[in-house]
Amino acid sequence: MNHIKSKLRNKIQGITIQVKLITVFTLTSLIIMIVNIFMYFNINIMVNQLEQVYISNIKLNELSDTLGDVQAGMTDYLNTKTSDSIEDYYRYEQNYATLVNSLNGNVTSNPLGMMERNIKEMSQKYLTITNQAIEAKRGRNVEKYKLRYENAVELYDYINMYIYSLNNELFRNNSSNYEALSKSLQYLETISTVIMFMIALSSLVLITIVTKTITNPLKVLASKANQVAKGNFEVELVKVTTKDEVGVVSTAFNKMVISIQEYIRKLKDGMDKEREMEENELLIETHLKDAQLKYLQAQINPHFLFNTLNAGAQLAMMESADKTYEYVQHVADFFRYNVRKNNGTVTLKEEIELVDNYIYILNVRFSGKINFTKNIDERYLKIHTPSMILQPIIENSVNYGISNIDWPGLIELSVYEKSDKVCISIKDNGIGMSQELINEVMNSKLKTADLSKDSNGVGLDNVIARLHLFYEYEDVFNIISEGTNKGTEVLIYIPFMKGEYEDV
Amino acid sequence: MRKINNKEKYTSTKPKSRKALVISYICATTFMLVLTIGCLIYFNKLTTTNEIKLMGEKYKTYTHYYVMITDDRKSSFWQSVYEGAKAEALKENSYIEMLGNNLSEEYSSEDLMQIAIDSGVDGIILEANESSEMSALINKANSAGIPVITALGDNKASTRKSFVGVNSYNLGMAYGEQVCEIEDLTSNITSDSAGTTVMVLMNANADDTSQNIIFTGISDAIKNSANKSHIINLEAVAIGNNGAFAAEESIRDIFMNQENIPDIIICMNELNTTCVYQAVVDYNKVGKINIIGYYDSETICRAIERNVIYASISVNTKQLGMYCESALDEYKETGHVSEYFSADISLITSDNVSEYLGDANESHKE
Repeated sequence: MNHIKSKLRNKIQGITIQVKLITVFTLTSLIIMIVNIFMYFNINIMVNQLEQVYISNIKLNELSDTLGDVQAGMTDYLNTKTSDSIEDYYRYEQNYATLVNSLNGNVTSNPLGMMERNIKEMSQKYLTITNQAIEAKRGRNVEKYKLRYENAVELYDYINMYIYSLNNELFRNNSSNYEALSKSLQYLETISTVIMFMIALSSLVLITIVTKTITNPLKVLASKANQVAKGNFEVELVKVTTKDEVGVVSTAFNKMVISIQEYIRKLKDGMDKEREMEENELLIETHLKDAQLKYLQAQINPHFLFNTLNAGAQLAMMESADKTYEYVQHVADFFRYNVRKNNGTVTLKEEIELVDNYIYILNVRFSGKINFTKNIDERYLKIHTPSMILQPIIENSVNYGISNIDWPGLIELSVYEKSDKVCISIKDNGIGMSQELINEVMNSKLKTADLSKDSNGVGLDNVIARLHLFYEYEDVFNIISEGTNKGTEVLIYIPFMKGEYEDV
Repeated sequence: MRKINNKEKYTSTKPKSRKALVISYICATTFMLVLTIGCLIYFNKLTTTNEIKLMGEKYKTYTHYYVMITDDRKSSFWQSVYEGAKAEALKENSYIEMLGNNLSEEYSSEDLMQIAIDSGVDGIILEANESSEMSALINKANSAGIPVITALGDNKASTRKSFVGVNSYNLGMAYGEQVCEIEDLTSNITSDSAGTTVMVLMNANADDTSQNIIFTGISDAIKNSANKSHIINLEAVAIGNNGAFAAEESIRDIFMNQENIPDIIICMNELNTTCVYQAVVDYNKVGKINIIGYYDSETICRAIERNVIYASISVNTKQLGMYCESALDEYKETGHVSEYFSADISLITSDNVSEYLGDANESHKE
């Protein structure tokens, strides 16, 4: 039972709009057509009845006319005895006999039927008498044909009167019949009008209902689509109640919404994963750096180193070895600076002192091979810079610029003002740099592994990165070299507010 | 997980609205059908009632066709006779017609006889008279194989098969007795010695012996009455019934002649009774002229109730009709039939008129 029910429901849901509309229109038109056919059928019957009503009168009139013709024919013949009149007589007699035979001769309780029967009987008798009269006339039996003629006239009168009476009675009956019929027709008219009106009304209701089932889902679908168009992808799905064309569109729309939601979700997932991976990579790098630092720190305790060096310096002083004392003292200063100022900001003056210490140490190491000159505008010594900026650059110039040249190496450090910025220039006359190399350095493409053994661990890329971060200014660092063996100049532009750092 | 959810959402339908739609659809359709069918049934009912009117009841077919021919077929007397005959005829599967009823022209009995003969009917019930013309017609019918039964009026010279009527002598005796009764009543009040004039209205055209027998009956009854002191003058007056309204005019003539107004008028048919009754009322002679009437039509009964008509003698008309019909049937079956049948007569006075009035009312209702 349930199975059949669900099957039926499926079938109903599967009806397409086209079929629905066609069904409704066919149904209503069919009913209207049936009603119409019935009405026309009834009207036809009634019209036939109306015709029947008067056909009896018409028949009787014909009978009466023919009877007159017969009588006239006979009289004419009896008068003139012409062959024309006898011909007429026989023709009319034949007609009349046929008509009379078609009359009903049964005995029934219908008074009109009895009149018909009497007419038939009398007419037959009348025809016998007229024939006898004609015969007698032919035989010139004057007595007889006169008598027959009189009989015939008498009978003729009776028959005529009978026909007339019957006609009258029939007409009276027929008039009432006609009244009844016309009443029926009126009823028919009223009823058909009512039926047509009611059917039109109910079919209107039916069509309204059906079109509503078509347009309502469309409206819902349109509003949902508008929501999607406004960017709300999380709309509730359209309820699909039918399997018609609208149902198909709704289903497709639902599929689309689901796919969009799915796609957005996937996209979000992908982005999350990527970010996570980047974070991981960064963490790994930081951890590595941290490890490197920890490793370095673990190797040398700076305080131990200072104390050791200080002890060395005091020993040298006690032994009156002034030069040794001075050297050890510079080395101690150099390391102390590194330990103390590693993270904070320092003045330009401190940076330059560190460079002086470094150059001193190197000159001791390399027996005064490095010619270091300073050309410094004293006004800008109080400018703050990140620590450990200049020393790595100098170290770079010493290690790469002038270490392997045949001519005496020269390094010049100058501080001056240039177009509202303090310009720090480190210039050497070493082997110089190719443009590719410069680009690589500027873009921090040199690997950490390339750091030489003599480095204190701070590379150029680190310097550049820190300068960028500190000043948030792109052109803070520049390298100029005119080619191989033509020296290199490193320029640092530090922006400052006029009067801020000047001693004036 | 999410996908399954979607799917659930997707397949969830709204069965409520669907159901409502289907129901409304079915409702609209059935409404249309019911309306159409209902209207058609209603219409059919209307038209079938019309059709019955139109076609009339289905007519029955009969084996024999008889006609009844009378002078005064419209009178309730003869209508009643016809009813009696018809009821009997239906039993025998015969149809009887009051000839001339549906004809637009009024014919005399002789013409109607001729028509009946020419129409070849199976039998004729005829209110005959003793004229030779009628005898010839009856003979003609007989020779055409049509049996003729005379009713109430006879034609003894003809070859009629049977006569059904009342015993005329008994009828006359009944009239005579009523005359004597009236005489007894009036002589007690008035002592005028001029005698009582009794006028008997007779049919001028009928040289019918039955009238004479009635007259004899009346006079015999008066002679035989116990009180011989009464001087009663019996006077027969012929009333013509040939021309239209002849009877009425003749009766008026009697009243116009003031000197010769009778004390008692005896009428021997329904028409005369009614005419006399009306004349008595019109000429303000109520109480002065006593009427002894004939038949029990409603008018006559009412007149008896109001004491305008003293008494009326009624023939059992139904019985009369029945006898006529059975005589015809008997002749048709056996080829011979008794020559004479007598119908009962009864007297209506103010004492028993209520019974007849009741009957009349009932028959009117029918």
